Amino acid sequence: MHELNNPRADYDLSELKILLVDDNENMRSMVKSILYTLGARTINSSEDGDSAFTKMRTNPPDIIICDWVMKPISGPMFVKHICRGKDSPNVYVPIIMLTAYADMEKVLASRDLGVNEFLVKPISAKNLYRSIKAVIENEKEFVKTDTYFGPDRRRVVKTSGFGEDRRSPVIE
Amino acid sequence: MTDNGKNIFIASPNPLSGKVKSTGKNVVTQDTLRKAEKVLADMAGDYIIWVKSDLLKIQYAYEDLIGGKVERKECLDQIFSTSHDIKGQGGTFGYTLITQIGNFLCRLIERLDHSLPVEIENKAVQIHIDALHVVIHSNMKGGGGIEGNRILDGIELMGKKLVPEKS
Repeated sequence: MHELNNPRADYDLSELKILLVDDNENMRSMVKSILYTLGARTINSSEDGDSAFTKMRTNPPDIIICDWVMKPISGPMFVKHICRGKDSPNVYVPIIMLTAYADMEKVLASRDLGVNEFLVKPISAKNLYRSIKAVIENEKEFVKTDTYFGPDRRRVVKTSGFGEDRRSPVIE
Repeated sequence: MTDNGKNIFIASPNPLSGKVKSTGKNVVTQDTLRKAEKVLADMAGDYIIWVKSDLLKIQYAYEDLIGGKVERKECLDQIFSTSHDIKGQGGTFGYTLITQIGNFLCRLIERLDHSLPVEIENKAVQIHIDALHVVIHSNMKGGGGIEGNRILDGIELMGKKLVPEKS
């Protein structure tokens, strides 16, 4: 078994295409540096939701990492557009919401919008990797009813941001 | 719409599990994570430059705020979003006091509801910006010790006195 605390496998991230959406250049630089060191090789970034949509069409990502506080389109609005928008390039793409907020109200709001993982700043390599692992291991289901199509809001999300104990260190 | 009124559950058509391997030399290990943490730690020098730049943005927005020529909401939005960035980044590099002051400034701006005279609101904002100047330019890492606690207690007290929290 691998040394990491999570008994499940660890992963080679080199084939994943990741789109990072954050209006703060420094945060983009930090996250890209971590992802690159973790082995990701296709990391695109956008400073706003509009350009992110364009990049989603030209180079479809496997995972989106986006910030909560962005301008002109906020993170939650961007997620809503991806998960529910009729012109969304991919309603199924997993989303990790990166935020300085830690209150449960926002966590639940994110989940209801369709966010897979809620990663609270300050960011670290182990927390970011833990979120990516959780996204890989907990694919979200979608539900179609007479009045709704979108992420299954009833799902149990056993992940770093929504359920699992984040205090367990990945590195001892 | 469903055909028979029942919910239909749909799995993602492109599961990530099909795109990642759990074997091979590129699998993330503890060593990879340590290297990634080191890469981040090595950016601490850059962070001080970033946060000084952020503080300048806040200072300019504050000067616009008191100057009265730029819309008040626009100035406060700029101060809020930049302090929110400061709050989110400081902790990564061990500057927890900077993060805490950034957080106090965000919470203060959220409390401003135009019920107080603008001079009082501006004074409350200014106290927080002054504290950021002190902490950033004296490169106070961590919680800043006794001096850090004194600064935090001071701005928290003054912030709540000038702009009381809503019950």
